[in-house]
Amino acid sequence: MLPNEGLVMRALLVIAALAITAPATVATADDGVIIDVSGAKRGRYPIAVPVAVDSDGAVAAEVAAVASFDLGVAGLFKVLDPASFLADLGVEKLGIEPAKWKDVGAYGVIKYRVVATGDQVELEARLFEVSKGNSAVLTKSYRGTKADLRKLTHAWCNEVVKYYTGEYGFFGSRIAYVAKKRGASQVMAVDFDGANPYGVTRNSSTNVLPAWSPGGGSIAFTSYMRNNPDLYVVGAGGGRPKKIASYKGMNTGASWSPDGSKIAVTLSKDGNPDIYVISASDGSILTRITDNKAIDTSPAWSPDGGSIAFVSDREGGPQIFVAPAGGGGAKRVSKNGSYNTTPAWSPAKGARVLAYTTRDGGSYDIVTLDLNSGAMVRITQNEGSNEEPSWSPNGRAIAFARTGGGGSGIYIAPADGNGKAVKVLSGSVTGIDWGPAPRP
Amino acid sequence: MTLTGSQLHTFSGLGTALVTAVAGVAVWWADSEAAAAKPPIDPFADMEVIDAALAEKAPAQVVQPQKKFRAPDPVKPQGVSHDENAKPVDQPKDEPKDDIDIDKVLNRNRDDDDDLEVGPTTQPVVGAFDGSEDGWGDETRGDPYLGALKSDLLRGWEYPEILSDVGTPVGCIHLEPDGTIPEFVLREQSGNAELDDSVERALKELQKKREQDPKPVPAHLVPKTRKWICYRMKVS
Repeated sequence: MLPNEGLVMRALLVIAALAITAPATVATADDGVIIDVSGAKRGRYPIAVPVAVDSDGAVAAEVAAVASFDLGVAGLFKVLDPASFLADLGVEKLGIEPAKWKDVGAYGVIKYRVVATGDQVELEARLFEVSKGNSAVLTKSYRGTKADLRKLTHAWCNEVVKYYTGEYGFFGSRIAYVAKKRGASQVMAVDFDGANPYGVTRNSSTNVLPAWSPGGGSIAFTSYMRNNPDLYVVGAGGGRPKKIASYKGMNTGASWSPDGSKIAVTLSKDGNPDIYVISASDGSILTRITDNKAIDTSPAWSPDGGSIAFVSDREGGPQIFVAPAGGGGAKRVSKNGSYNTTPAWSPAKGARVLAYTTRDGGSYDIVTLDLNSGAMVRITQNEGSNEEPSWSPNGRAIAFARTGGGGSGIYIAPADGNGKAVKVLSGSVTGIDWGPAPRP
Repeated sequence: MTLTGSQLHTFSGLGTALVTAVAGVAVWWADSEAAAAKPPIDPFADMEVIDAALAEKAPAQVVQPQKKFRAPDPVKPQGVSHDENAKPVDQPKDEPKDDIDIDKVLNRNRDDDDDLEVGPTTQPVVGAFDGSEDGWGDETRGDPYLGALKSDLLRGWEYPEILSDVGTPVGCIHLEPDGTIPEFVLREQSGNAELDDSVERALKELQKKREQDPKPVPAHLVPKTRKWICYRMKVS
């Protein structure tokens, strides 16, 4: 045997292996065609909310109705028509048969059981993701009185929104507005879905421009109770108002600082309306934001506390300007059209987006403007006259006052411009201000 | 017999050259045989990317009509006054305190999906159904019939915007000469259960559409219907 026979043999084996495997590599290249596809339609999350069948009929129907409305205006979901459901709800009870829900296009399904005993109700609710089978991904139970049923359902729907987005929804929040009653204008408040309206002010004067405090416990407003447009603060549930500012002339358009310690307001104590920051506790002037011969009104404090948007006609018609909250130069941000008013900041974290009223021909519409990108989104068009936008607490919807076009009242529309506005309250209203979200 | 070191090196070199030559001939012979049995294959020719222009525009969503506005200039954090008498401004305070990525916030609670490894988890099933044929990408690139098929698939592919778009599942269909789709399969899972689910829904929708309105395969493509047609699906 050769001394290096082993080495030679190993080399031969390696070469032989290469010779054998080379054709095999080609032979296994047996793929068919693979086509790259991109561009799925991104839309709302299809979710089904069937009425519970093993529950008290009336309360079960109310839960489904409230939940369907909540999720429908959340700006996230597409609530499916119950008429399309194929599942046998009596068999499924609190579970789901995924294939049946997939067949009707559902990605999510809400199941619940509500039991009424006397004046008490008990709600057990479950969320299913169809792609994850018949195990619930979220389960919650609630107890309360029958009068609390809407509240309990709102709480559940907030949990559903939190499951998908990490943030609670705005269900259970309230909207303040002004309605004329028997010759007077009263500050009112109503659940965001139009339920439970109530009067905040009860006097025979003109009360306008309500503004919720950041914590939701108080509402600032302007009243002519003392024959001058003075600024007052009242508890959100009503009660005796406390006068905050009564400088000569206008004390209007309150906007709270994010920490609730200060209020931006329009004062005309020197003859010309300008924007000031005053103390929320005693009305003392802390900072003068504008000092201009033009009319400056409608201040809106940004959620980060750093900026105040307002309306000024210093360049002709009314336009939106933004100034530092500590005082200093202002910059015009609205560039469309010749008439833009009532700015409101989006409360969405990280966003610098304003909603405002713009005149469009003979009517008024709501638009949003992203101050970072310059992108504008139209929220309303060709549906009456729409004014005074106010953002939902999570920035996903916008409430506004409409006259004409489907009936006057308070409407809610998705803030991304997709989808139609929904009327939540009928009547001639002004001064829309959406309050903070309820505490979980 | 004893070989000297130099002889050993000489024989070793000659032997190696001989074996290499033999192996090379063997490889050449094997390739020739394979080439004789099947047309030469360019591995990359099997992969086809149909121009995105083939895709038909998806139906418009219910969107408020958007008029064009003249976009305003982006706003700097610190405003510049048009009032020349305005006081200088202190350090701007109007930048968001928390630079939060909205997408991350939206996708929070999606850990079940996002934490999973994304990539192939199943064995490939592409190629001829009986395993006897290779790809035919070169022959079908830009084919209008396949373009329309892809458009129909895209038209039926919806994926909720609040869900994570991470992952690239691959779905395949078995297209019959009469234009029907008797079967489809999710060839590669993405690790994102909802995305995979949406692709299966889209394939099922395509199957249903072709069941209701089968479009016969053109004659030049009929021989190819023995093979899987696969789609690598990316949300955006």
